[in-house]
Amino acid sequence: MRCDRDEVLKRFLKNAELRKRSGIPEGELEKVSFSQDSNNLLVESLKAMIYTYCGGDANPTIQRSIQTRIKRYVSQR
Amino acid sequence: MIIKSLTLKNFQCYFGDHVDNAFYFKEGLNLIIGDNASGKSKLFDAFFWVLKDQIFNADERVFVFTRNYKEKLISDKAKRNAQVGAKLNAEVTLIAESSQETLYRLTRIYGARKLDERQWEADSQSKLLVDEDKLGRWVPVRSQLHDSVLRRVISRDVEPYMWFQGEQVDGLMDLTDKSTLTNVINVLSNIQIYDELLTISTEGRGRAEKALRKAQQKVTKDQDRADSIGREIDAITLEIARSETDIEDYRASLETAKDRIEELVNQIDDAAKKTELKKEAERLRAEMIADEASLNKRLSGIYKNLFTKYWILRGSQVSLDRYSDKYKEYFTRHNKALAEATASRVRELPRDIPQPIHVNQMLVKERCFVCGREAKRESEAYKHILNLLSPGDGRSDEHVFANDGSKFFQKLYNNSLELKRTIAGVDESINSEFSLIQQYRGEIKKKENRIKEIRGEFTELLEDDSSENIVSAFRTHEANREKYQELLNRENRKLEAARVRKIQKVTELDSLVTGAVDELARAEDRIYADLVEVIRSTRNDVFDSLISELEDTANELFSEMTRRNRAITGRIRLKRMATGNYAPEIVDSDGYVIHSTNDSNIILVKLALIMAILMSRGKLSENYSLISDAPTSKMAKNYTVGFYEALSKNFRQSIVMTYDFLEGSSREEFSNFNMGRVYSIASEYPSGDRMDRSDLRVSISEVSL
Repeated sequence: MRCDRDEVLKRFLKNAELRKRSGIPEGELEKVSFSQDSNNLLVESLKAMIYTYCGGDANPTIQRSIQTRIKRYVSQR
Repeated sequence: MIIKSLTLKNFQCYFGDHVDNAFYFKEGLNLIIGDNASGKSKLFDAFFWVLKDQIFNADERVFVFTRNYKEKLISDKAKRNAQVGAKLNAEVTLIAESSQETLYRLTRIYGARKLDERQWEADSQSKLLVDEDKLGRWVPVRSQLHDSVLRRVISRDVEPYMWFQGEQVDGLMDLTDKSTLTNVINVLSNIQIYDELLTISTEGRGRAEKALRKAQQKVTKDQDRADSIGREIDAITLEIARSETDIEDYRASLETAKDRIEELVNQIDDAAKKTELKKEAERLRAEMIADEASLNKRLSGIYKNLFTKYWILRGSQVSLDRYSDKYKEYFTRHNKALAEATASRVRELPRDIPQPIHVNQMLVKERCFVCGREAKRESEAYKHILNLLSPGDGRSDEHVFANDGSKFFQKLYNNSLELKRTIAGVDESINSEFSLIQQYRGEIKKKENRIKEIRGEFTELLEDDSSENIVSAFRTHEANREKYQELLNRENRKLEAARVRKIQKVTELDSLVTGAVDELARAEDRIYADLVEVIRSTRNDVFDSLISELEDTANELFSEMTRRNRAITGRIRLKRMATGNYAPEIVDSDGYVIHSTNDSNIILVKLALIMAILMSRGKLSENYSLISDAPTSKMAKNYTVGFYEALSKNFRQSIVMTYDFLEGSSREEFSNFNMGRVYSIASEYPSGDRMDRSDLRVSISEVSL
């Protein structure tokens, strides 16, 4: 593991910019985790990025994971 | 890993076998105490050599590879004693224990063959053997895994900051280089995670932007125009990137100019006058920045005021008065025409209602003969029938004129009346705004002039104290400061304008789209833009939080180290520069920088910062040993005990070679420390001739506390 993904995610969940751009209130944002889908495309894309990065994957794989997440979200709408 | 032991065989001044030169270590503070030239630095070299196959060449003051150092690595005494033709080896063995309590043994060997009393044939390279303890037996580790074991003893990034000699501390943390602290933090903290995520998301953003543009161009009504806008956007993007680079450069140059000025000013002796002038200049600069911001805000609001404050109506009262007069004329003629039209109309019954005689009968009978309804007197129906006798003309005023604009003209007239008061105040509003603008300009000019005067006073003070070169340098740096500030302001304005143009072009491109743009392309563009901003913001949060923790930890360590010394030592502050770097400074209780700080203080600050950074990533101070040769060489005596105490408290294991505590009585200080083992070493010349290096060996004895 390149890094502790839960630790990294926790840092992001405290960020005001993420709160603003995701539209998720602070209390709800704190509950976000890797085990549950938040139904928010920005948060899910960020999670995909952190997961693959901390797992030690290379850049192209990380980009693909984000694109896959976005594609899934768009096709479900 | 924690280091359990180091043994040496014929390594430099350490003549003899491993058993003759053995050091065993525990957790806590381990000391090897020895006077100058007793072998302390060679012991530090031994640690270094095992890990890196390099040795410190004391003559040239550089680290060299073993193959270039050759037989000098081997003990002179051993070489003297060897027979011609014999092969001699220098060896160092280090045993370390991993966090899983597995022992690893690293042995580096380098040999040479004696050709004659003066010549040796040295090996082309050293050999490293790595063994792992498996159930009490040493089992060789495959050479492909050697590197991994070495990195677990000490990681390459971390090694300069955890394995160092006292004379290297200055170089580890050069306080004159404003990027040093930032670079050290980048190496030793986990901030690079966020930097890498930012790089990845920025690359993704670039691709997503291009993909969206391509998708838009596919469904555009004007392909040529879309292509042209696409090219313009690319050009503006490049322009923005160039501006951002230039801004970084100007900021750095501005910081440099400010630093140089600060250095020169600090050479002025008249401290009180200097402080007063500096405070005044700082205050004036801050006020000027605020005034410039207010001025710019007012200037940029001038165009808006044309409409929001009705400035555009300035001088229009004459026209409105003329309109008012015309309207009054119109109103009079309009009403006259209406009245005439009404009077001339004959009252007549509409063609489609009953004859008057019938209407009279309906009134008498109180019943409508058309629909048969009752029409009691005073009822609505009765009134309606009564109206049939005098229906009026059934036509509104509108039918008097073919085109009746009276309502519109009336509205204009009413509006003009409302605006009269506003227009009356416009001149005053304009004058007041411009007067305020002039005021700001005046204030700014006044402050600029006063700052120039202060600069002149500094120059005079410098002239009193210093040579012409310094005065000339001061003027040059002041000129540079102005120049780079102006360039920075200009480039910032250019960047802002470019960003606005880019948004306009993107909007224009969007407006050409006729069909549905691929939703996936849109979503990717949007999400990547958000990701970049979120990661950038989080990275800054993490860095700022790291700086804040570092400052607190460094100050705690600094206090610990200096508490035995009553002299005023100040406090460490990590100051954020305009370039985004952080620079450490020592400040007094009022927050003013203490200059002319003694060397001891500076060394302590650097060590406190390095230790704070290592402790911020708890794993480093827990999982690696700090090894140092004479770290207190430039420190005043009163600080050394504090330094060792801080080491013993905050690092799981430290191994320090030192000439401190040579006196047995000074070792009483250890009683409160978390101690490992303590050794005393001394150089020995058994024959008694201290000039004969070929007789040199090191005696080692453990000190019981």
